[in-house]
Amino acid sequence: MAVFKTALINEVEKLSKKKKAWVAVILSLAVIVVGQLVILAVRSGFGLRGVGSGEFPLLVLSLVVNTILPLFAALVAIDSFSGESAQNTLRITLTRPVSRFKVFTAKIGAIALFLLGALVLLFVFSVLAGLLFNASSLTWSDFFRLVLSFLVSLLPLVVLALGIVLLTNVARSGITVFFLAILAFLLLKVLGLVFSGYADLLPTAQLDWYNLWLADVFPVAAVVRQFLLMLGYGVMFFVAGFYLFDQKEL
Amino acid sequence: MKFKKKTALLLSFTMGALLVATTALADMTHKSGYDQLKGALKGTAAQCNGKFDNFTMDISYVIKDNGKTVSSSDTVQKIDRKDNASLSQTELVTQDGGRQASEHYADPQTMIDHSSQVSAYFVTHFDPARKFDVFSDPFQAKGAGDVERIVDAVVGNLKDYVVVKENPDGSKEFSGSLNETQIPPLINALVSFQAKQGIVHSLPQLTQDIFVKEIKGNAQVNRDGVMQSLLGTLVLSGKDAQGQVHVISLEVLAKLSGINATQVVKPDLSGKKVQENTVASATYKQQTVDPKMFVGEFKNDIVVQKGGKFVKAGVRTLNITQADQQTVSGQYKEEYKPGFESYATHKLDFQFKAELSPQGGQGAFKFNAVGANGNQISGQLYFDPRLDKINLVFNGMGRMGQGYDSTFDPVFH
Repeated sequence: MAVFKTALINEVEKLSKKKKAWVAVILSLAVIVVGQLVILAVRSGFGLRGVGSGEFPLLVLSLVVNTILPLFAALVAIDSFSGESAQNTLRITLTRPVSRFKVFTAKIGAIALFLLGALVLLFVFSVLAGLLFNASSLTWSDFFRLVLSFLVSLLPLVVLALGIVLLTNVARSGITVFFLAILAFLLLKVLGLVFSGYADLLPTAQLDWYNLWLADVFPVAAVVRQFLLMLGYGVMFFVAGFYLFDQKEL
Repeated sequence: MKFKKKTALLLSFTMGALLVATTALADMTHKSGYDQLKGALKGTAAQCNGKFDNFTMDISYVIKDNGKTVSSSDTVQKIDRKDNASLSQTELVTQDGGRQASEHYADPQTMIDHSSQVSAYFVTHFDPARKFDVFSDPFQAKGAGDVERIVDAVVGNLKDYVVVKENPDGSKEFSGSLNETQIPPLINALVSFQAKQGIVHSLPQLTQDIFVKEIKGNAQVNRDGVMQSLLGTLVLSGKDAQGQVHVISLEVLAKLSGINATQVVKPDLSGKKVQENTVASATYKQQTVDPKMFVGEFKNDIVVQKGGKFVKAGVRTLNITQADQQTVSGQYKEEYKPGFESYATHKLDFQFKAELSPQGGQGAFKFNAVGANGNQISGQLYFDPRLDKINLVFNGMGRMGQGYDSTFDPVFH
């Protein structure tokens, strides 16, 4: 466990030193600023309230969870695998007395932590912006719902990241993986639209599953089903990704 | 060791795959409340269109402003598919308590309209009988599938907000509600915007901070899968120009009853004041247009607003010189009276040769022409089969300026 911890710290530190991490922070803040400006424009221009302080963070979440968060997941996953392979720094990591399984898991852990960090950042700033610029409608129960929504959104994002990690171990070049990932993401979204009856089954459909957690009558069956689906996809992606990572000749 | 690792990986992968497969199966066999509700709606519409000979639909709405009723309406529509006749009676209550009743009867040969404001009954006879469907399934309509897909996509993960309660006798009760945090912000904005645009006159004019506070609904479906009632409520909140908060609720209730026990009775007109007219056919497409009849001069007045009055500023002339089923040629010009030259910024004068527009249907011709000052002009001509009038519409109507009148009347010499 101590070895894994060290490996994880190592991965997190590598990630935090990257410019991409800062790009993610700036993009997240930009989304909040632009979102708030749009709301203010709609409010003064059309006389619509747009959102109250309780809803603004959810508006931000609904936007980022299908756009920039998957993008971050792709960026860090590609950087952590394809990038290190390309720069030959992966070799250094792997020559340490740490098993490949631990390295792989530590990398996934770092990606998950990064996504969690992004969610926390978005949460804090969107709540602040929501409170500052919108008619106060935030209650404690709303606040709790918000925390829940942001937290549960981590799971589908990690599953998505695992899928992208699998891709990085299939294709070598980071750019190929990046475009493959975007293409696959769009394709899945379109499929979801065309076969709307079966849309729930696609690994991209769970991205906004936080909506389920907000229902008045908690839809236990639906939450369990979606959770099991994500778990299944996650395990498949993880195992396949690790198998390829383990076989990799450096 | 190597072998063990591979087995473990293979096992884990299989387990993951099995998990996905079984959950997917469970997901497919399980129908969310939303899907069941959709199924019930479709089933009811299909039965109304196929199985039931006659039935009664009762659709009513109430609009309340801060709890006070400002408008309500109740429409009872009796439909007899066997005799192909329908009778609908509407009662509207306005804010001041005024009541307006109206009645509409229709079958292939006749149409009767009556409203409480006018004493006469308006009767239209169709000879020969028109093509008339007393009820058509909205889910079978063209484009219904696409609409359904879009709605499905918008609903997305809100599907499970519809709660189903199954009763021992096989009937079902659906209910669901979305409060302001649960309604997706984009939908909230769109609905609020629509509500702002299309709000009933008797309501206070909301100007700011408009938002959808709540959407809720419930439905009863009997054990034969027929939806007997559907109630939807939309609660809007907003402020008027004085800054006063208004909570406006709209409740719509639809009920289906009298299945195979409804009788459509034609209104008894004996002793009533009746205004009759006969139409050769209600479907205009059956009427043929003979473009040759339109050869000649057509005019309308150029009217402008000046000094708070409408003033005739000139004449638009459309001269059809040749016309057959395929082509129409002629000339269009505008002439302004002395003193009104300043209005003639868009003045047009051109010759055209128009061709039958396949998309436009009967009597529609489109043209491309070059104006006197060399600019491109395109548009359509429509010959009205019932009246000796021509409609001339230009593409990019903005160019014509305000006050362009597209209807041209014939000039009889």
